[in-house]
Amino acid sequence: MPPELAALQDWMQEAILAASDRGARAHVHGDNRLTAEERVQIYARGYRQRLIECLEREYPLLAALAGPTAFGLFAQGYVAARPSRSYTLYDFGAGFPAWLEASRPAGGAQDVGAIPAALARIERTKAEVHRARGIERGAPAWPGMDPVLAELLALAATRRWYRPDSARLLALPFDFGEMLATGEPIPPRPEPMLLAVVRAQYRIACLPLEPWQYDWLAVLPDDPARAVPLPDDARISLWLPFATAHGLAAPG
Amino acid sequence: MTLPRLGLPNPGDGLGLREEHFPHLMSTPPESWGVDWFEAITENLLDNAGYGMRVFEHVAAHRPVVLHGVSLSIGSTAPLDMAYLGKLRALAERFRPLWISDHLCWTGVQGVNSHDLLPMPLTEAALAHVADRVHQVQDFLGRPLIVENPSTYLEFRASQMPEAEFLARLCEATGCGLLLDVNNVHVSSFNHAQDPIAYLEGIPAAHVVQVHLAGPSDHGTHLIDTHDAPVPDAVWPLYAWVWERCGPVATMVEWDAGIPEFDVVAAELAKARRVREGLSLAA
Repeated sequence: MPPELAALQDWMQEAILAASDRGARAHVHGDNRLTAEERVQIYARGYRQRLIECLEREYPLLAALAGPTAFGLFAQGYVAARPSRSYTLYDFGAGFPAWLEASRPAGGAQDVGAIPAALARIERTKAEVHRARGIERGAPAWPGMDPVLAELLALAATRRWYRPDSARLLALPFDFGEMLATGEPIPPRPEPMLLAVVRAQYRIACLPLEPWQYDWLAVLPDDPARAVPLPDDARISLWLPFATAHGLAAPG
Repeated sequence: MTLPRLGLPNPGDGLGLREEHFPHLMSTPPESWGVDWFEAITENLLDNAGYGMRVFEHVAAHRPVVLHGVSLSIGSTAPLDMAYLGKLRALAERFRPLWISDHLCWTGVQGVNSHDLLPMPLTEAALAHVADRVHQVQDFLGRPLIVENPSTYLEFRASQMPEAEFLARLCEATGCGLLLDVNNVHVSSFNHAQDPIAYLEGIPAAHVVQVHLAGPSDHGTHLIDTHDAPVPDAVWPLYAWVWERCGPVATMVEWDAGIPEFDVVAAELAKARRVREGLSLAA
């Protein structure tokens, strides 16, 4: 590796990440339109803008609820603390919920300061479900048969079940039900909420769950090869058509 | 003697595959797309088992595709990311793209990815370094790498040659191809007060496999390669010049921010055809 090239790249990356123009004139030409410092700053500004826009796209409800000033502070803090280390921008926002939780003022799980991290968990989960391996490509249990009839047969048979990667579960300290139903930045109620973020036919839904629904889905394996039989619980048997139709569970 | 386009095909006029156009592509018969081929951003497909991959499968079943990367970081002094390259190779084996392209740039060092196409110092040492890495990538992928000239906003004092010479010598040393972004030539030439025709004259025509067209944003003192506008008037004569010297060659319009309806982007692509035919853009 050429040492001069390595030193130059180390310097430029530091200048971009720290938004510092120190050393610019030693390395970069300036002219009567733009100084060397201004040219380096084009890259430094572009770096921040690109990553902040990435967070705005991935966390639109949080951005709307927090407002531009507060969200800007969140995003700038995260960009400064956690430079991307992945080849894909998709990975960049993955640590945002945990960073928000670690950065909030000390307090209880249902303090107002805990809302951003909780909401960010939902939005990150939606992004992950968007790309996850889903059930859309699953071979029909009975090829050629009417799908409804096939589903009834599947339910009637003693099948084994798993939870697809495109069905994620969240136990939240706030009830975001109204916000999720309307898409509007309505503040949540300080009550626990069990939620499934799920994809079926490439459409993502956030479904509130009862504790017994959550508990059953939580113990289902995510590998079809390790699918398990239904428990002896009439509530689950009755709910199963809904769960399968929405992609929460699938026959293994 | 190098064959035109390295012997690779000319699939015609293409567009970038963008999420905003998924509904149009999935609801419109392919024969009505009015586009000969599509370019997909490699990183949008890696690790993706969702709708984006579903649409790409549909598009690839009906049109030729190429893979265009932004994270290869061929100029970085950090080690090549073999996990990334492994996924890229698997993707290419699955979809058989006409070619695989990325940029003459570096994106980060020390494990960081700036997600920007950072400029190279155009030195002899950097040329040898990039050539060595292009060889490694080509050996790994089993095909020529197609390298795109980036837009740049600064020039290093250490540079020893023009960018076109750097690219020409890279082609000669490695047999790689070029994705000649005419908009980037316009942007960089404006930003560095240089002659775009002099740049183009230094490009080895037979290595040009693809052309990019796009619209930058004008910041008065400089242009930024934002891909958020129609191709500017200043770029069309450069494209005509390139076509005269390098054509016929695959041409593609990029539009990545404030993306309009599919038909608007396709209409921008149709302008390229009119330019080639020497017709007015107004019709």
